[in-house]
Amino acid sequence: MKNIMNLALGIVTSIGGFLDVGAIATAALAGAAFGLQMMWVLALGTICVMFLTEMAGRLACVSHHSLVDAVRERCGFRYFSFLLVGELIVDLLVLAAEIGGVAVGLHLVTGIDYRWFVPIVAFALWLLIWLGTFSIVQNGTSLLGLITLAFVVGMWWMGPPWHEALKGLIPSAPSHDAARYWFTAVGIIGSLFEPFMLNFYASGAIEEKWSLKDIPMNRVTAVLGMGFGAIIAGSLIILSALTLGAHGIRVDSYEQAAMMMLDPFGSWGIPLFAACLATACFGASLQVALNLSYLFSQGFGWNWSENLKPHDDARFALVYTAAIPVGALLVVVLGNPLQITTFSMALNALLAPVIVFPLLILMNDRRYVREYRNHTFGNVVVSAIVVIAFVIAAVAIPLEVLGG
Amino acid sequence: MADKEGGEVRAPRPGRPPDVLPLVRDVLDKQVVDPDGCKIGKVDSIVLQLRAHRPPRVISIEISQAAAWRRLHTRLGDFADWLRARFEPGQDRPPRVLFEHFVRGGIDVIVDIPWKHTRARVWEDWLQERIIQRIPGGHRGGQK
Repeated sequence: MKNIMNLALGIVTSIGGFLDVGAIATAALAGAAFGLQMMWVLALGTICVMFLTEMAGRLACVSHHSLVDAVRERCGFRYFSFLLVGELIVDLLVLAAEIGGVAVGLHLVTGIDYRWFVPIVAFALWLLIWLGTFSIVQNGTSLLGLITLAFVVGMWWMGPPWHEALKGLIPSAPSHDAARYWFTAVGIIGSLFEPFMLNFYASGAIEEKWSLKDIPMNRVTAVLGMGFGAIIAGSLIILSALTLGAHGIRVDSYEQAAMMMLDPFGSWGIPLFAACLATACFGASLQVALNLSYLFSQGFGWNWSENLKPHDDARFALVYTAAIPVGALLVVVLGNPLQITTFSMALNALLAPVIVFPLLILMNDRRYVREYRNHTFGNVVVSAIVVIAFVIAAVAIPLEVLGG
Repeated sequence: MADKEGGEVRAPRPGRPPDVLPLVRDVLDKQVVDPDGCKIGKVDSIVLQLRAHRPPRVISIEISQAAAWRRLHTRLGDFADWLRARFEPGQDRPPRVLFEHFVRGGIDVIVDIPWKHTRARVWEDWLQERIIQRIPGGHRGGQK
């Protein structure tokens, strides 16, 4: 019974990790602009991220080293420095986007300018990390994040065209606005390949003291958690297509995205969208802020654990204490949180190969994963993912200019 | 041969002399852990002593941001060294752990000296005293 509970909790937390401001924004944009035509991008990205998450978890279960730890140790300081600088920039932007998402959620309910909520959200975020344990941070917010099932209910209420949705799973070229189509595709992939998520997942496995006996649970959690997360994101695309797309609304802000909930839920729609956005983004912002601490602590070999009091891992605590105000400041300075989100998703795609490529080496290194190393099929899949990640990274910035 | 607990490599590969320790593979960039399991830092550099008419000898491992950044570019290392000399509390030289404290390498480097006896955590102590302890909830250690 305890195992089933752990598994259920693991799946819920994976859904929480999957659905954040990037997934919500890119799914809403895709559905509104291109209907169900981009379902295949979500499906492809989900399959890739299932494999990557399982590998990051397996690495942690066997070696008790996180991805960042192992990258520094196996690939050296020079490679790690690229990852450090890249992830610092991207994570700060994603943190800004997530804090902005929570603030916009509160703005949608109260009507007060979202900027006023930014310091309050940032302080609440810091306080929860400062005082909370890993399981409180992870499980508490993820359980709250289940409110995002409202997107599935809304989609169901609207009577989805299943035949069209299935047709959307077959890759197809855009009928119009090609640059924007491919930019949105890169954004969806970027929202799934978020580098912070892989290391956070592996660090979480170490925090929770996963060991060899947890390898099967890791596999099920990675597949079902990411799968359920994709179902919610897919529901968002369909709902957005049936409501915003049908009315010809182009999503340029979260206020417009929120209108997708009006048709299925009436006057409750906007508060419900706001609650979904705020809870999903709050959970994700906790993960990003913590991941920045993991990144520095693991990369430089400091003591780290969210379960330790800040006194015992002062440098770990200092990193998130410094990162959260910077993220908050970025939201206020850069403005429109939706634009920060789409831009940071493109940067995610740019950084993805830097974190994905070492997995190919690490998952074949006996010293780290012993007899649990990748088989031929796993290596073929991760090689394909590396190629996809490199292609997407190469086109991300040109598409940002052309279609962003 | 891989150790069952943590993947540390102790025994040599076939054909290699029994007392060989591949420094770059099994020491450089690895996590340094003390006898109590405390993380001291990463091995940022390995220091050799040059001796007249005799081969160089490994004398210590260096746990230092400056040493790490110097591997990327000399100027980055110099800048990190200047920052350390200018701001690091109570420090005048980079923290080194003598190689005589080395126990074994692998995916972690185990040393037999407690972290408190090294100078690698000077910033950790400084932050604890000057900043963390002054924030409510930051004055005591242990599990949350």
